Amino acid sequence: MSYILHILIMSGIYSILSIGLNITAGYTGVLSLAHASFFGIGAYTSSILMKDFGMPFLIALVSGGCLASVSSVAVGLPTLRLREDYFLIATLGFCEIIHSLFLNLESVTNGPRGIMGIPYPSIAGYKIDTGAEYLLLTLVVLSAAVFCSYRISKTQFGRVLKAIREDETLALSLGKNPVRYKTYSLMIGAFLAGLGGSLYAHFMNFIDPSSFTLNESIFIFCMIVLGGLGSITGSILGALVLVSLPELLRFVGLPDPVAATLRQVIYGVLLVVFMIFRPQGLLGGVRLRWRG
Amino acid sequence: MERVILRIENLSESFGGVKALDDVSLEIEEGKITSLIGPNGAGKTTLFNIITGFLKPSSGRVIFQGRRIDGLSPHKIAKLGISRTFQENRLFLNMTVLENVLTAMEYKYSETLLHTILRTRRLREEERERRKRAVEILELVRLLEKRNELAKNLSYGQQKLLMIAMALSREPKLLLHVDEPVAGVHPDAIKEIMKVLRRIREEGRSIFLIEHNIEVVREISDKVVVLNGGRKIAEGDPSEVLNDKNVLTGYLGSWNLSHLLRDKPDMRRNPLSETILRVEDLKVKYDGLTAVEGVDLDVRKGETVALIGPNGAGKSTTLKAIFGLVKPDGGRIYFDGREITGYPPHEVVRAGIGYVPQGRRIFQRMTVEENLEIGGYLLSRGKLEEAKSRVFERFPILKERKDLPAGRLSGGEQQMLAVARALMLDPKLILFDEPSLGLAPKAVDVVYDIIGMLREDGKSIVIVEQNISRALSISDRVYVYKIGGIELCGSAEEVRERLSESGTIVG
Amino acid sequence: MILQLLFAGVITGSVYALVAIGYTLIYGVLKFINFAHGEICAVGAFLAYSFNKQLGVPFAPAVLLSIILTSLLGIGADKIAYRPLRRSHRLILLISAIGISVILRNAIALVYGSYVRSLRGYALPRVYSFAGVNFTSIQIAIIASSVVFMFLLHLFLSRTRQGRAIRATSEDPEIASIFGVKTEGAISLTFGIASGLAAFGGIFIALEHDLDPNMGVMLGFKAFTASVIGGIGNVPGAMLGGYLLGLIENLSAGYISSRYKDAITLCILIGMLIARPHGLLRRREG
Repeated sequence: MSYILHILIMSGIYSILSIGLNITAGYTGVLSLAHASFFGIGAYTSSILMKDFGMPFLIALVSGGCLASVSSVAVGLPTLRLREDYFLIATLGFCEIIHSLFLNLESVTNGPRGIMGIPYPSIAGYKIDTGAEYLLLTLVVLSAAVFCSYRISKTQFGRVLKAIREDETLALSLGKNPVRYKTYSLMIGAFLAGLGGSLYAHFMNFIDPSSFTLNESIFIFCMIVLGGLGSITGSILGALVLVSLPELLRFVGLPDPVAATLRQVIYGVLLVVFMIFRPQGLLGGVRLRWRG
Repeated sequence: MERVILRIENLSESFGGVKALDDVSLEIEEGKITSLIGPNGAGKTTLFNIITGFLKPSSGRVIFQGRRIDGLSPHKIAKLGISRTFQENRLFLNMTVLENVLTAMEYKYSETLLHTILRTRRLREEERERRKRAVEILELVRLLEKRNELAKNLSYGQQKLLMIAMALSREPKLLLHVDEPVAGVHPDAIKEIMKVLRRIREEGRSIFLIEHNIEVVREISDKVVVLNGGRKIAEGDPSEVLNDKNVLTGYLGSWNLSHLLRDKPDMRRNPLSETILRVEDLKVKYDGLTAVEGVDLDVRKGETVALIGPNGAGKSTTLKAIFGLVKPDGGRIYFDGREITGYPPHEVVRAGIGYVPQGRRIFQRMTVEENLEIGGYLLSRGKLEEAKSRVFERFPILKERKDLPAGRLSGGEQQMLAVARALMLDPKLILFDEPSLGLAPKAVDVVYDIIGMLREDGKSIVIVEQNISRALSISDRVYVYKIGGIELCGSAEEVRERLSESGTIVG
Repeated sequence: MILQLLFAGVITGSVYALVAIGYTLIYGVLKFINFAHGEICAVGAFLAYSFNKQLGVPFAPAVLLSIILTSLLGIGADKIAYRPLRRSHRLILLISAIGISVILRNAIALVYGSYVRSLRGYALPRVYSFAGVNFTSIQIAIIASSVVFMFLLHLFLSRTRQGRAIRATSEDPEIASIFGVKTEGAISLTFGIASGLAAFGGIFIALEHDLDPNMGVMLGFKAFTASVIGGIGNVPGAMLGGYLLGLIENLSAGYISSRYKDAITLCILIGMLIARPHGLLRRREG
């Protein structure tokens, strides 16, 4: 499979993730670090359903999304009524816990060794095992994600999400229940992350807990910050840039583990720098209201 | 027989020892405009916040259309048919005017995910209807041509109209509207709002209105309720209430003040001739709006000067500009021979001016003594101890309570502490911002005794005060403000006469 | 066994208390949870390691140097990443804090690599026994010094001018600045103290466990939970919360399972946030 195709497919998968996080954090202003967990839950669910239970791909795919979405309610229900910083830390805890569950529930997830030999997807008997075919599959799912995001953005539902982000008190006085909408946006984001997880698993044919850590959540977060909070095209652009960046670093010749860590440092710097100098991202997403 | 749409029964609200509302009961009639008036700190906003669910009352009930709603969350109350506007202009600034109204509306299908993604027919119909109605409403408030303008680009008055439009778009049965007096708003804007309110009433809706402009109250209210110090002091027909002696003397000021003053000891003296504070042509703007303009005032050494006038007139703003809490947009300020225009507060404090802020603002979690120590933060160790002894001598009660957390003091004692704190640097001039606000009458007596004491010490004092009788009882000279600037000034005696002649109502 | 567990709880609790105080102090002056606080602990531990094990500095001075540098780092982080955002939307500040935590965590990993490192001495410590409880002198030292630090902090906050400045800034920065309190200075000082205490916390943990670049994450999370238990913004509460959490954690590790320690902490956090978000100690409101 050509190198470029690989990058494109990964960009596509991560775009699905970032669009999901964009709905949660960009539209509604719900900052969450649990996105990698939903990614992982989707990946594991889909892999196990297809590999161990012989379920058809489409069912595995959707189940991955659904289970991720349901788990988001588990973390959201008790914590979304709280202030943003509390919620953020709760999602951090959730991410770590899910990661440790992936590591420790060996009977289900095979622990640190991960799951190997995840089958390629097949739809109605047709097996998708070439680069071009997988890219097509990814683009189809991505288009669905973009479509949903777009539909949300252009309608009252989306306006309410943005209203809650901008001025929760005002939204309350207008009959909108912030917790309800925050929960919805979290669930939608998680669903998309789950879909992305499934696509990832069946593409790589192998997953292990190390792909679904806090670092991963932050990685996805950087994509929407880079592209501009609230912008769909921005999320895709952010995914494209941040997926390709490591490849560029590889050309510089740094050993892999060092490169990986250096990348993380760059992400951190990126977050701080963008917040101070260009909080609206490259494409000028939303301009959050200054306080005071 | 009038139908009652909202009934308030024995509502009380306390915040940490301060009683914001005290056993308030009233009725809002259906299809009528009821105005709520009263001085700053009377509890009007607290009442609104309780009705709309943003606060839980300490006791009492709120009954809307026969159903009890106190304690419900704000969005549920909004869904029951009560809409509100806010004191400050709250809008979705980054959305267009039309989007603001559309967002405010109540939807059945468009707010559910399924219909949104599938773009069902019901959703499209609903959106069409809503859009039509939004256009109607924008036309009513004359904002239709601005419909694609971002809300943040509207003028202050337009933003206010947009807020009303948003509240109206929810087809409320009861609208709670807060009308703030602001300098620099065109009188036409006021007429515009009155017109809109009348239209809303014609549609059969009820309006409960917090209003500061007595003319507006007179013109459009069907009923008036007066709140003062958390209590309801009058309720009824506008012509009756606005002529009620209790209302007038307590809040609106009157031509009957003299009988009050005769009971108070004569605290007025002749000031020395040197000027200690001069303000020239002061102008202050907030958010592009002019709060005050053309303010000229003088304080002579040892004199007590009062600034009185309606809410929002700019009295506190003047004080804040002198003290450096806001930067003047024009004009100059001189103190004790030096220019201090634009000096930041800690420099002003160093120069010899003390400040007792509105609402006292003492450090509740720190002890009495620690509060004083912050007051004397700029002093060296030795001088700090001196200052403390000096102040404790003056205020023995504080000395007794010096290790108590300030939050445990009574209202009057807290005010005393705020004054003591301001005195730590031994200022020559002391600024008081609404010292009687939120205090029971006995506590106010205590405060005014202190001010009297300071006068005897030869301090110069500027005091912003809503309570006219108090202000006139203690000052040598008075500046009467109108919205945006000074209307007249003179000795306390003169002012009293002028007020009773012209029948000017100040509040 | 229970006494041993309680003792372990007091040790862990001391660490949590020190770090929790930092969260609470910063929250007091800035009204935000400093997401990067946990990483500061890690920095403190690793710096002590470098001075002591790599540069051969004796233990006590190494610790001192580490504390000083870590405090400066904390102040620096505030000046660079938080101060420009004082008037920004809270979300922006949170994102910046996330960024700082990522930078710190990975910078440590970059510099120190993945070798297993330890701050412990080579010789095994002597184990004493009393009333059925085994303990080492290091453990006693940890508990004792924690108590001493907390006491010193209490004295600082209640008796000194700067301490009052910090408290005044936490309550009402506008009024405090009127009287000449330099609020930005108070904030920097708060970061310095919080970071210093965090460094101690990190070092103490490192005396019992191996060093790990990711040690800050869970430590930060747990210390945050501790400060929530005591009531965020409340310093004695943070201490109480720290010890309580330490005790609960060790008791449940002993009687239920040590594998799910972290999950239990998360449940406690969520439970607290639902039932009593203002903490166990009611803060005196005026």
